[in-house]
Amino acid sequence: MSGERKRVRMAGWEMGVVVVWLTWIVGSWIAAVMGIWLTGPLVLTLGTALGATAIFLITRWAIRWGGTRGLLARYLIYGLVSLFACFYLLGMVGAMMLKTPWEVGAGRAVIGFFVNVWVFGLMLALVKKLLSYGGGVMGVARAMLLEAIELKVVLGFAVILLIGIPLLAFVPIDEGRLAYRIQTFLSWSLTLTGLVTTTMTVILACMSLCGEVRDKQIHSIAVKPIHRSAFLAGKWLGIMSLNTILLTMAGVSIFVYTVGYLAQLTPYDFQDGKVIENEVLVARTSVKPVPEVPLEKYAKDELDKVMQEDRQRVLDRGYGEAEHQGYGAVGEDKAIELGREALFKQFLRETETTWYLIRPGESRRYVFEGLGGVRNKDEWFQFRYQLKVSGDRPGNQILMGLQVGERLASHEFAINTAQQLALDPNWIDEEGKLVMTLVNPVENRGNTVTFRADEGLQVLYRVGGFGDNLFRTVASSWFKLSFLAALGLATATFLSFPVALLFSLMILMLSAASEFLVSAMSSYGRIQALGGPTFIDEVIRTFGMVVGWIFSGYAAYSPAESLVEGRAFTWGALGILTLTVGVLWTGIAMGVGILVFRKRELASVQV
Amino acid sequence: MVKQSNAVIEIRGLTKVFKDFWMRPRVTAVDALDLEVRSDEVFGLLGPNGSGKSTTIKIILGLLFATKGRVSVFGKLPSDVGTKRRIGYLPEESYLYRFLNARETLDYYGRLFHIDRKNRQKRIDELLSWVGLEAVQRRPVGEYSKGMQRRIGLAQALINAPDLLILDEPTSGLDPIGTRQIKDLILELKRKGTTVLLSSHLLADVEDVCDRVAILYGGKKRREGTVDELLTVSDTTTIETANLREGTMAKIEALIENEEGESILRVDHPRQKLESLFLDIVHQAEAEGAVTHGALSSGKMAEFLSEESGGANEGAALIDSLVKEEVAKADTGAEKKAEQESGHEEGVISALTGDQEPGDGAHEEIKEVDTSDEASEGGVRVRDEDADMGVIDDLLGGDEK
Repeated sequence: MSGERKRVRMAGWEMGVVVVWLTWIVGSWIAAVMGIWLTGPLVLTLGTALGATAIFLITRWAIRWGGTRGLLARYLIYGLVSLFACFYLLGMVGAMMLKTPWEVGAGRAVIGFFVNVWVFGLMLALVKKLLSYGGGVMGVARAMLLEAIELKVVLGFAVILLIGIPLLAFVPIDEGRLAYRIQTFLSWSLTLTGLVTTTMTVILACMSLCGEVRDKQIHSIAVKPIHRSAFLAGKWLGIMSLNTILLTMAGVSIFVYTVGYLAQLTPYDFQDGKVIENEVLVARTSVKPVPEVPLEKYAKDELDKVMQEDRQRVLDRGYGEAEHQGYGAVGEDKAIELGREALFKQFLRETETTWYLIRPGESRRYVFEGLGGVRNKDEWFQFRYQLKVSGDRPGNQILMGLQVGERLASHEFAINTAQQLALDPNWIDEEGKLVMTLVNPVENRGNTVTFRADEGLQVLYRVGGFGDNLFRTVASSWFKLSFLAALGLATATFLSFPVALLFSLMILMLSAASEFLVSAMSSYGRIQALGGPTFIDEVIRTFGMVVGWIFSGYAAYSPAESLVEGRAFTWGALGILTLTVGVLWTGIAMGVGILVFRKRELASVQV
Repeated sequence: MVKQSNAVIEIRGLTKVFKDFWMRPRVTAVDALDLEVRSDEVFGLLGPNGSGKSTTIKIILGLLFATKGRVSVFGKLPSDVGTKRRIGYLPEESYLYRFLNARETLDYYGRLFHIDRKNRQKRIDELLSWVGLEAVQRRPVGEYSKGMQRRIGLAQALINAPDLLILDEPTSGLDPIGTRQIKDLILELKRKGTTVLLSSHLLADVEDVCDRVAILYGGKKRREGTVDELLTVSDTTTIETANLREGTMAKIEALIENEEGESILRVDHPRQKLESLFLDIVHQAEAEGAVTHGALSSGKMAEFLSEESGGANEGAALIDSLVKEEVAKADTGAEKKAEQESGHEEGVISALTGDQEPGDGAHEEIKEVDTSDEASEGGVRVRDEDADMGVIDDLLGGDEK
């Protein structure tokens, strides 16, 4: 069983250094007990140097020893030695040098890194053990996992993640409000996790399968009684096992460093503490105001009025649209149809703009519905706004009135930046409605206030905690990665490594930018001044729209963004993402991969 | 549907054409090949480089697909996953995961065969012991020498105790002991009823262990039959007798009986070496202008290597003439030394055969080790024949080629 398991011993001089160091420590303790404190730069420097050398030698011995043992024992010993070394060195060095918050933070980040490495090693050993049960698929998955941790590029990515998260948590990024620091940490750590796992997954999936075909290991495997589909499934499982470990590590680290460390620091002021509590470490949902009369009705009434009073206007608009959209000469009926369509859109846009607009001396009533739960829970909630002011701007703020029922308050509203106001749950009526009237006083001469149509007026309220929101965010990443792993494997079934990698990255970029692609392509080639759309323009536009639409599910939700803003990434959204990206897309990619792989000749041409 | 028969591998009209990106035929690697490997036999596939051996094997294993023709293995198509449970395959090079150690490698392949854990561990222990890698089983395969990788490759081919073992250049990269082990293994497996398909360049290997062989050239089968059938020269007769006194060799049967009182022990057709037969077939195919996409050698040494001294070599010639005298003086001693070394080498070769004392071998002819059934049970038949390359193949293994 253990033919190569050798006794690993320290050399004589190495033992000597360790013994002298231990004697030094014991001597210091005895001296301290006797009331003699061995202090001073020389003593501390000597002690630290001796300690560092001894710890280096012990670590080296542990690595050599670990090399002859199983993975679990190896990581246990590595972890213990690393932790011990960190605490000792930090204690010694810290006593002398760590003074500023940056230095203390860096010291803690080092400890955090070693804790991460240790937990990573333990989880790896655990997953490896789990994968040692079962048949061929599990066997392939285990080999994939082992291959992954042997690859330097993968190890590099893992180390970046394991170092990066503690570093972002402990090193003070912002000296101002704690809420910003927490949000910055969440944003950066989630971005880092996403970047590392995404890139690693695509590279690993392409590299592994292409490598096995290129280096012909596949010759020994494809002749064994395992279906090629099962082999691909095993590869996918192996990659996702590693991703599960990394995402768990990242998720737990982010949670621990956020809740257990950052949230425990002293906030900048009382307001800062409330923001952290109610707007950051929370999962909130939002409701937008609902017009009492649907805006579409206003638009339609306006259109009907124009049709009766000024039909020629509709016709002219229709002919203009026909030319603009490349229809050429059209009949009257078609012109009317096109004109009505265009005018309806225009009126709806105008109505919406008007609805979000308050002129000086005017007020507007906004109704937010479905807030009965908030009233019942008696929890404070937030009114979020983002407005701009046209006209004679007084500065960064504008004074406005805010009336709910009998209550009237005035507030300096920030201009251009999104702000939140904490509101009393008693402002919600018994029907669960918040009826809010915003007043633009006549004193604001010439300053018309306009709220952003998409997210300019919202009410946010708590539906869950930070922990479960983070869990759903990480879970959503897992399903996205499952698709990328399948995509990488599928492309590797018929392309060589660099081409497969480029192809997969292109799909990834298309997926990430699908929303932008759809909006950009919708107006592609439509600029009349440039001669209107040609046939080629239409082909490109259609292709771009279709591609954008196909991949739109990938970027439809931004869980990380929601988490940073304290907004809920709901179970429903996670469910949709799971079904589309996690099941459908992954299934399609794997299906294509299996189809190609089964039909592919795996041996190269050697005649 | 492939017809069921007692043949383990049945190939009918197999053609494999490799095409380029535009689907234009580029190379015809196998051309209308018919072949049958029967149960319990050791079948050798011979041919020069590019003759279609590996392509045929890869089609049998389902790694390549036939362009035309039918291939069945145990009566099923090569793509049938169930059939693969009964097959063991050693590729021409051991393509293994470099990051797994020997034990993990065998465990991995064992799991692909769905062998239960207990049985798997037992087989792994036995195989590691057999291939001699027990002591280094925890070392990653990537750190193994080529021979060691070959051994672990062989072990993985046997993890499922296969009914059909396909060996592609099995002795390549192995030392003499490993080569011997492979041959013994093949014969042992044959005794136990395993069918073996063997492809090798080392003709002595094939001659020693194969029941039947097929020789391919240019993707076509040139000759097929038992080793005896192929090597027997039917238009000549040899007489083998006991040891005779000098002079009696010139007299024939009557003289032997009259003067020596000995009778003829055996009258037989002489056998040629497989190597000669192989070369004859290849030369004949070349003379016929048979098409091959494999290696073609003109047999001539590259000019730059055989170039006689020219203008550029005048300096060298001058130096030669100047040192000639010195060399002549040293010749006597050098010749003696060379003789000693030559004797020593022969002695080593003899020693490796295991039948001669090293010291005694210096002035004796090189003997051929016969690995027929009789020989494998301990008997060694000695023939008065010239040294042949087959013996050296045996002794030095593939690395020396």
